Amino acid sequence: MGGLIYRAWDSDLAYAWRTSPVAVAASLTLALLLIGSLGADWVAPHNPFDLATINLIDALTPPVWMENGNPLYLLGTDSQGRDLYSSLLYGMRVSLFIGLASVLLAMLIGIVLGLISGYVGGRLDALIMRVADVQLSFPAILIALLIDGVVRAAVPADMHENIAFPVLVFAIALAGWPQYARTVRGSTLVEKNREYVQAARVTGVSSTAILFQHVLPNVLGPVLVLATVHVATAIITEATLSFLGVGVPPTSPSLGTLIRIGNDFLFSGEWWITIFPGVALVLLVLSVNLLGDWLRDALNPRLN
Amino acid sequence: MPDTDALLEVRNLRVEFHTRRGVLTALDNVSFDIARGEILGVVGESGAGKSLTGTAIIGLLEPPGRIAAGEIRLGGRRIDQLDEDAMRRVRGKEIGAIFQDPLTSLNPLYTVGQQLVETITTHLPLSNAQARERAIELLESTGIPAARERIDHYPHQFSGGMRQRVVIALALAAEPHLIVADEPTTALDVSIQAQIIDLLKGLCRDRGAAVMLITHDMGVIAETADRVAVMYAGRVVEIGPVDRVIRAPQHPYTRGLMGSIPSIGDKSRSLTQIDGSMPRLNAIPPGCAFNPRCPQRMRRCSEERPDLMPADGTQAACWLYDKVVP
Amino acid sequence: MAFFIVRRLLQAVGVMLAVALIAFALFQYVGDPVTIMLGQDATEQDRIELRAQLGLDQPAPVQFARFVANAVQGDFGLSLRQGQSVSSLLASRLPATVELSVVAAALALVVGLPLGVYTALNRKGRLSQAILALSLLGVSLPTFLIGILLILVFAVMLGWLPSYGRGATVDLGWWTTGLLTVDGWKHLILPAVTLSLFQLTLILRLVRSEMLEVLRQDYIKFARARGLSRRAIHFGHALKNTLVPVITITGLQLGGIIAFAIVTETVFQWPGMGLLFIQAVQFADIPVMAAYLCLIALIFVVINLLVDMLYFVVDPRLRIARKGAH
Repeated sequence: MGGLIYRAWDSDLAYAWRTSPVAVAASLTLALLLIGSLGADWVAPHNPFDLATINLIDALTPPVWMENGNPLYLLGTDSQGRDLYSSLLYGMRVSLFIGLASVLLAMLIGIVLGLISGYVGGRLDALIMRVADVQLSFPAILIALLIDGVVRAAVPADMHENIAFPVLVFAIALAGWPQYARTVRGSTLVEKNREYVQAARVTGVSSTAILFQHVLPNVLGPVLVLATVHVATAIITEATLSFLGVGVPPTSPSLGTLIRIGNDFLFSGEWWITIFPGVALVLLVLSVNLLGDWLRDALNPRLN
Repeated sequence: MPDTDALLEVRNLRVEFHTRRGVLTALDNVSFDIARGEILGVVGESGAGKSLTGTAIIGLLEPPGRIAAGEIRLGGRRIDQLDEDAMRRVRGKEIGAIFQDPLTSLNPLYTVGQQLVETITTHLPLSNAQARERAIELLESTGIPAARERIDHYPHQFSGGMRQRVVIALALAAEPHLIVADEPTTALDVSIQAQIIDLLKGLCRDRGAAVMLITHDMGVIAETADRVAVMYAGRVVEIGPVDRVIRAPQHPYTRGLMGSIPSIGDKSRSLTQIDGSMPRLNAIPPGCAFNPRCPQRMRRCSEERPDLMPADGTQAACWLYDKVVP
Repeated sequence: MAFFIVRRLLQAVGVMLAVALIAFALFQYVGDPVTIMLGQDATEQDRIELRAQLGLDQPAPVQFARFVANAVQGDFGLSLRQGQSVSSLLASRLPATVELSVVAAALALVVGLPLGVYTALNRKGRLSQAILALSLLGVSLPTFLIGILLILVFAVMLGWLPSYGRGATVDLGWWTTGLLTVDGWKHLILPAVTLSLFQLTLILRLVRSEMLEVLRQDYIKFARARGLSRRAIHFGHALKNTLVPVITITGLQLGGIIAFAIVTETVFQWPGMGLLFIQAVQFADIPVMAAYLCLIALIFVVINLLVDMLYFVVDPRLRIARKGAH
């Protein structure tokens, strides 16, 4: 067991990670952010959703290092008296959840469609790829906005809050599947003609088994790089949608919602309400992007 | 003692690669000369260091590779330590190069004529019109029909063999004294290979240019070269006149190499096979690099490394030919 | 060539029809068209008449045809929120978005392209590393946050530039422009910079990675072996080959600017189509949403078409078929 760990530590990928200060720093930052947000229930000093604990008198307190700051509220409070640091942690949790969920869904749709498209070929392939191509030429945000708008119009107003989360995840996922489908299709086309696949077919192994047991593992490398970058874009997309007011419902604000709320106070001088969620968002996305960049370079055989 | 007849002198060339796992010696103590107008073949298996030698001579060695020791002299002048600008003037004008794949050697977005004229005007004081005439002559001399029209064609409009002719024209455009040809026919159809090699040989003879012909194809060497150097694991193990090395090889590796080439009509002889394979750069045995596979290995071979020494008709890096009896 | 154009035009029409279908579906099945057209307060009698008049009792394909016919003439009915005709609403907002987008696109190109080239040619330099780090930051900052930050610094803290609206505009026929007044430009700067930043970093990274890829190619190696000057190699060969794929991708990206304007217009309260669209989404104003969708699709399709043709013009391999190869 120790030998296995040693071998993993000594592998090229681990070595590349160890010796890259950027990768290590990004990973550590990301780990901290993940722990803080996923464990918000334990880490956050206050519960911004518990109305009983919110004191209107403490509203608009500046961060602790400024004049009038209060050590109870490290990063200050918003107009309702909610602790910004705690809101931030919970908000990050929402942002992360939606980002990860939509990427997983997009990956699922994209991988399945890509496998089918590449393996079956013919008209089905042409159709799927045409749809993917057309969709790729539209920005994701537009597609997500459209889906969101349509649902908003089709569903009566009181139902909106209940379905907001799944709709959001679905909208972002739907906007993002084509790139996975394309990559997976490409790899499937390559693997399809390899001898081991042809051998499996001859011996009567079912297509599904071939696809999932043989082709899929070979495709996961580039998909992983895509997914890492996609998490960053998904988080930004969700933040943008929430900022525009068509994202998560206000009862469980994400970082984007927090920024939108704080934006109103920019001119009156309470800049922290919008800036700190902004910083948190940037840190999150930046560390994911850095890791994604590093991963892509590390997995690229030609750069050696 | 500088050999005043030699155009190119390579002495004790050592090329190293600094990787995270240590220093790899890709070329070790490589020495040879090329005389004016002569064709030197450089043969060996993949990874023996032939192409690397050519790259080092042209000065296109990229990090993490570097020239760690030795000298390269062209016409008596050292060129291995020149700065980039000075080396740039040497390339094209004094040393030309031909690479393996004619399709990727030419820029697809420029016409053949534009690429030729550019090369010519970089090195020779000709006007564009004069350069264009010269380019047409060059194309004609490389056997491209209707050169006056085809000069305005793009590379993708030529076939593989035609493209390599264009590449040869480009390499000769500034009248270099030495051409480094790295596998010039490997990517071509077998039927065209002979034509291209003959063309290269003929053109160089006419212009008095020397050629360093790098290839793994002994047949090409036999037809074309004056002398041949055999490389193994980054070293030169034998060097001598072509018919001596081919008919009467002295180094055990060369013998194995020649014995493994079938020849038509020689039904009785069975092909020899050398056990094992060429060592990787990070696992070169001490002493003579070939010693683990050598049928005539002596104790000394795994302890001391032999330099090139006179053997019967050639020079071989082998203790068998050591005249100094201990 | 003509065949190619015709085929692409047909594809474009196909895409537009598909989008029209989606828009039509929005109209028909999401919300009630009669209510959309007559408003909430119409009598039952009016509704029945209108239903017959509109042919809503006709089969769906006929209605779709009518929808397309109307759409092509620019008639999308009335906005649910504002009661005005959708087409006049869009037309009044179009100039604002177009001016913003064009200036942002120009900015992204003029800054992004040279920086991309610089960081590719000077890979290891300090400045390059700094620019790359900043570009990574640029990709990680959502557009709306950039806008907020710029407002914070330049409008709130420094007070140099205004933070919302378009400023003083001049009427030129049905077009209103802010480009002819100093005040208009002052209002344009922050939103344009905000909108351009994301595209700028994308272009920068794209150009850089393409150019690095190109610099690894054999024809660059051959060009160096011919002794061409650094300028000729970097700008004559490498840059030209980089721009060909970059042009197409960039063209498509820049089309996206018009859509990305949605966010920027919201942050800066810029009275363009994007802001209109967001308000429509919030209000579930179907006609405006559908019309915006069709308009955007049209713009995209046109840009796609133009980019394809550009590719044709720029890459000789597409223009000139292979002639008699031998």
